[in-house]
Amino acid sequence: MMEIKREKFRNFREIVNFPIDVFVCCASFEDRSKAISERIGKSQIRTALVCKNQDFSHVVDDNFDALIDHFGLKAQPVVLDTTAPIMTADNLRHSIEKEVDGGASKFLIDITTFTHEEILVLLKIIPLVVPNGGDVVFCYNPAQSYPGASKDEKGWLSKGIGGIRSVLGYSGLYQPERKSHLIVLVGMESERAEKLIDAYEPSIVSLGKGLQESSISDTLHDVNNFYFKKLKSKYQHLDKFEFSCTNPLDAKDAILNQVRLFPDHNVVVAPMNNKISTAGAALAAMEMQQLQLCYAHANEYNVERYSTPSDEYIAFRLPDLWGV
Amino acid sequence: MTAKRVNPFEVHTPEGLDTKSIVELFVPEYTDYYKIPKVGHTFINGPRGSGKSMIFRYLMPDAQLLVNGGTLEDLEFFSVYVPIKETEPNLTELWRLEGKNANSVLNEHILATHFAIRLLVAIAEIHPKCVGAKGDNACESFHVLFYRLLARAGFYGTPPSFRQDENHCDRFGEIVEVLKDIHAQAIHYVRELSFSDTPPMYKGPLLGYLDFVVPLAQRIRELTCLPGAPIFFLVDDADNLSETQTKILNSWVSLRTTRDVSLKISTQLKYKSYLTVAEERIESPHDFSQINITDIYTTDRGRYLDRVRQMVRRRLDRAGYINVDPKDFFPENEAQEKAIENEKTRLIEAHKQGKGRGHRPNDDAIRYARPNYIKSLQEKRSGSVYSYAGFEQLVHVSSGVARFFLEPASQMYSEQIARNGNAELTYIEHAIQNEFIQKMANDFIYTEFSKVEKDHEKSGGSPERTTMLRNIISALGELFHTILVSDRSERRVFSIALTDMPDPEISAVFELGIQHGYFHKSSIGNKEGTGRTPLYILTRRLAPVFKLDPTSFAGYKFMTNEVLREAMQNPKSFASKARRNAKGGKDIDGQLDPPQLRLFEEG
Repeated sequence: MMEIKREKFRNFREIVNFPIDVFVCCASFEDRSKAISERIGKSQIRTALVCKNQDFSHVVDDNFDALIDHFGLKAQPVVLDTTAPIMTADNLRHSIEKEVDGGASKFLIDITTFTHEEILVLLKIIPLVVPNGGDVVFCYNPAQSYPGASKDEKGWLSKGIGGIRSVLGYSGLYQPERKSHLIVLVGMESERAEKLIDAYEPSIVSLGKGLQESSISDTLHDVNNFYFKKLKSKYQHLDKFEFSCTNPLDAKDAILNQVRLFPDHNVVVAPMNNKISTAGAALAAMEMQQLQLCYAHANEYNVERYSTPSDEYIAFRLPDLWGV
Repeated sequence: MTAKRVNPFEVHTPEGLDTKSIVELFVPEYTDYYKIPKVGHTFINGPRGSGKSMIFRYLMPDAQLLVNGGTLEDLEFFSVYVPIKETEPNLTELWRLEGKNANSVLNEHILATHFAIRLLVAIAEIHPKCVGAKGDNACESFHVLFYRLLARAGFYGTPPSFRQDENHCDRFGEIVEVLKDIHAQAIHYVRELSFSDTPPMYKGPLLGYLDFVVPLAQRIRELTCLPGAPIFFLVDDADNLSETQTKILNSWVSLRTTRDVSLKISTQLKYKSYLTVAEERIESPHDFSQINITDIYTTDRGRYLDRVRQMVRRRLDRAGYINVDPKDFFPENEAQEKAIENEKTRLIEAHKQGKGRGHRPNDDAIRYARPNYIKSLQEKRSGSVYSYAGFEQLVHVSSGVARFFLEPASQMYSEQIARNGNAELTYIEHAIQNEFIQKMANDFIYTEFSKVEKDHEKSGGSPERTTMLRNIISALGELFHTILVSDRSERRVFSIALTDMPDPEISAVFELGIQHGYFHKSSIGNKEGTGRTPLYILTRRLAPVFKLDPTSFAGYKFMTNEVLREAMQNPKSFASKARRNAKGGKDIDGQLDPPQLRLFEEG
């Protein structure tokens, strides 16, 4: 049974059952990449796998260095690359495998600033390399705000898409004779969603919007709503639905319900909302193996004004990863 | 309260359009459409939104039967639509096989099963009686052939057994299911590659084009109601194939199978390679013919205007605006057009008084009235700006790509609906037209270009090249504006031609611009009359950015590599030199041999 906790950081050490064997995080240009790490003392972990995307070195190195310094000799750097998904998956898998081979069984994985694609890959790798019954907790620091996003045309978090690809491990089981159904979990990056729809030219588009009651905050929901409406006005013939941004299982159910509305289509899901709903998309694809998950990486991020960390975290386990 | 109409300009995905809609919406006239349905491999190149998928949809049997009447037996070709999506069949897992022998073999198998399934499903769906039109014996022999081909490809499944009284044609669907299973087996294998350091052994059959797809297509024609019709595979958006898959498709193009099977391949100008698996280049016209959709616009703008007019008429009709002239739906800025008409009258009078420049008074009116008006706005500094409203201007600003007319038109329509409230919408106000077309132009040069830079850099390209592209766009845009408001005899210039062949770097910059829609390419006779030289045409989508007159193609300028290099490296100095020369009455860039030639006669 999945248990989700959403708490203020002041309770973090009480809630997370320290010590843990391996802490996994990813350096980013967002200060959120340090929000959870800063609450973990060196003595509470055996190893910290500190990942960084080398193609973003110029903007992530400061935070990467800070994370390495924070964990000292317990830090193990793991090199990833958003343009090289095979290398990224292999490096993630080998580094986690090495820890498991060394006896690690208790993991805390901070998914806050991994890319959506990397989270999806992690969710595939974990049940492959960590034996069933392993103790794996995922945690996430929601954004306090997205200063770059606003309820007008001037706001932006990312620009353009550099390419669209299926996510490793989630290729689905497409059937050549079928028409396509693209499901987009819309987030703050409406332009990325728009480019994706234009490039994919699906027969059916389903636009998913985060549920207000499950939204991280009302302000974010309003901004999110603005982007959703913008997309809706451009693509009039599309289907809309809502999903949870705070509960992966609920998000999974919403996606699967939407898939069932249009049987006999090749379904491609693009999780572009927060990382919690991305975990929901992963669970949906694990349950319904014909689903394909895709990732559209951005050409440019608003590095200066992307997000600010909040003073809370969400933590959950996903026993379903071993069960499907 | 008026009834809510659908937005007439909404862009549809052709895949999702029903037969009636496709026939109503597609305008085959005024295009190169009629060159496509001929036997032979063809590449159809054009940017996104230029109508390639609509052409393919129109070539499908259901649309052809509705257009031409008759029965399946009358079809001159049988088209099978094969859309290539960004992530089908180009799956990330397949990247694991790069550099391994299995790479080409497995990719060919996936493509071959993909094409064969589309073929068999298309045959089965088109008409229930089509399969079996030649009787039970033909169906039996097809079953035999199918399983023999599979056995040769390593399929060890058992062929079905038939009762004595059973009709083989009734079990055609099973063949499709067997093929789907084989495809699924390959995709399951691909999934196993996801997180494996060493690829596992593939134990399924391996189908190929020449040993499976082609013989199947040949026999299909004997089996069904399609007597002599060749099969056309309409491979849509082939840019989305991986490089390996692209080379496999090119290898198929290099084969002489066109009597039975022709490949019609659409690309968005980002086709990864023209090399085959054997690293040999396929070439036009030897291996395939080629149609560049926007060439129609650059060589005959009247045809494009007529095509969009027809297209808009049909869309307005469908939305309930019966017999509404597109010119009335997208009216011009009346005050502006009146001022231009007055200027025309003045120029005609001046010509009559011996102060003209052209052969006929009307020549001066056509050539100079609009540029003079734009110039007058600049001189008055009144804050008035030139309006790009009006159907014909909007068509010209779309620069040969129908979607660049439809997308802003759709936004204009939504905006007008919002402003009208409950009042009936009968036309789009000129101010709304101008506002949206200006915005589109600004987005294209500012927002979109920064994405081009990132995209180019991400794919390993040099940042210098995109800087040079940005510079040449800016330099030429400003130069063309300077010419427009100068006193030259030919002021409406949108193109440059090279006096010598472009050096590789300059050529690469322009090619990048063409790929992203900032330039079109054509050719003209060189100055010596001994051959042809490339002509690069700035997209009219940028006319509102540089305050250019989008309605004319008349002039072009010859330039040297040296001048172009300066423009690419130092656009500001290039533009200010052009302005200084214009003021001093010298030739604009100081590098040209006047008089300039004209591309088209004005009419």
